Amino acid sequence: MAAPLLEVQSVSKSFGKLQVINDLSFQVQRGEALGILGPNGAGKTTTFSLITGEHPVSAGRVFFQGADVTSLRPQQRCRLGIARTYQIPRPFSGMTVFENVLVGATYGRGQSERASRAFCRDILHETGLLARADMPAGQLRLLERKRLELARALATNPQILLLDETAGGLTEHEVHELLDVVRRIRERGVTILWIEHILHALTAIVDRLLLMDFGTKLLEGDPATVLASDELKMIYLGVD
Amino acid sequence: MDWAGTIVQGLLLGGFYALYGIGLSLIFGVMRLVNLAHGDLIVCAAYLSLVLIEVTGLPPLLTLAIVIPVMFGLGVLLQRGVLNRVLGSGPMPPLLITFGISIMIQNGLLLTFTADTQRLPAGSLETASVPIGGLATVGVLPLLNMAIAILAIIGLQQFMGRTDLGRAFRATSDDPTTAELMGIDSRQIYGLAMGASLALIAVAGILLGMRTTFGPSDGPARLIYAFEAVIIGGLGSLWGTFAGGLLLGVAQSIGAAINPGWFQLAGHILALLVLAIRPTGLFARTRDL
Repeated sequence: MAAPLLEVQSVSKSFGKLQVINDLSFQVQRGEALGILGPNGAGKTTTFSLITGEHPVSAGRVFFQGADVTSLRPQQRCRLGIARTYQIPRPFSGMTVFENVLVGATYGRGQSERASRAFCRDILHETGLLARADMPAGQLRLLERKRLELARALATNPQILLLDETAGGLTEHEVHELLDVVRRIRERGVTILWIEHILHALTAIVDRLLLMDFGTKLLEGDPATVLASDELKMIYLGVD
Repeated sequence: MDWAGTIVQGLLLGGFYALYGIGLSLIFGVMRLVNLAHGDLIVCAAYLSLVLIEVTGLPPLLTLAIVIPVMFGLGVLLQRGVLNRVLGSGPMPPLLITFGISIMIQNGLLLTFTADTQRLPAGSLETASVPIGGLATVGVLPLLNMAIAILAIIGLQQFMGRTDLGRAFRATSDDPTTAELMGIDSRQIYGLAMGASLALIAVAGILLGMRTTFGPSDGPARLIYAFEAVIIGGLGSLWGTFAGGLLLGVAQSIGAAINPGWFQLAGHILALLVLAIRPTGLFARTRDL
């Protein structure tokens, strides 16, 4: 089997005395979609920050495309093809929607502005934001902000896209629209790692599920097995 | 009192403060860093020019061609070598470091050049002037400075709005963590911002050095003028800072016309009044910092 696209190897992370991630290991194969489940505080978002390099790991290693990226800075990992979205969207609010995406394309993808314009319009079209292109990003509504998170991450031309509760806070109808966008992203060959509490959204996309609690992996496997597991019931329903 | 003349002289003096202020507000805008050595670096640029004049015999204006790139490089080095290491650990460490640099520059200059005040020998340019509309006669040097300040603002705005690098500046200013996730090297951006800031104040430092005297301990006063220009104009607006600088110059000039001892006092009073009445500055754009 080929080397996994992403490998998290015995990673731990502490903030002071608080251990948030404890000896976590998992792999994501190229083209796969892996969902991450777990209660609040399980360390899911921190795991993302360790993969993108926003926080340095306390122990362990992160491999991407077979290369050790543990000591690389976030902008270097971005250029290698790792992109993420935030649970609470963080647009560059003083810039237009188009400029937000353009920044990702010119710096993350490493193309000139001239070469990026058409590419950016395609991404805005794909994420349903084309009509908003010239609007200041700070004026977008929640769904649009979430779409912009996606669009901006896509503009960096990622190999793997880390989605952090992208469906959270959306109406049912909006979730369906979002799923269409995520499916199209998958069809482009982008590998997906997705943290989500809205299970039907997650299971509509992912091939496998990883269940986390207390900063470590409890279970990993196909969605049906994980969803039927005692571990999941224990965490979410509090029953043995 | 010749009011028109006083105000025109004040505006021209304010052009220098505007340039100081733009340099200060550029780095604050991009990386929320307050550079307490700002004033001393302005003075440093003038001394650098002085040395070049003495060694090479170049006229002061031509030394700009050397001093601007040197100050730019110094800014990049200062940022990347020292200040980048403490960014993100709260406002205190950069304040302490730049305060320390300020003391080092003042004492270094004192040691090297003594406490004697200096002046850049500009020859006929020093006193060259043009009459404006019969109201007043204005010096060529301050006019040149004013033109550079205006060009710098227009240039910065075009750069920020239209270039890849300018967008990276804005993105980093908005949210450095997310900017890094978009592939932007924030440390590099910070280095360039500090370089640009020092390049701008090098111009003001040299032009002012051709017009008035300067000494090793003049830095802190210039830092305060830069702060006052930013306070009066309001953060986040280059034209606001420009207007703030001009107003400060006019206030000082009117104060001095009433009583020579009131030169600085009048400027400080204006800055304090703005702080008391409109703390965001007269021309601030609403913007979360």
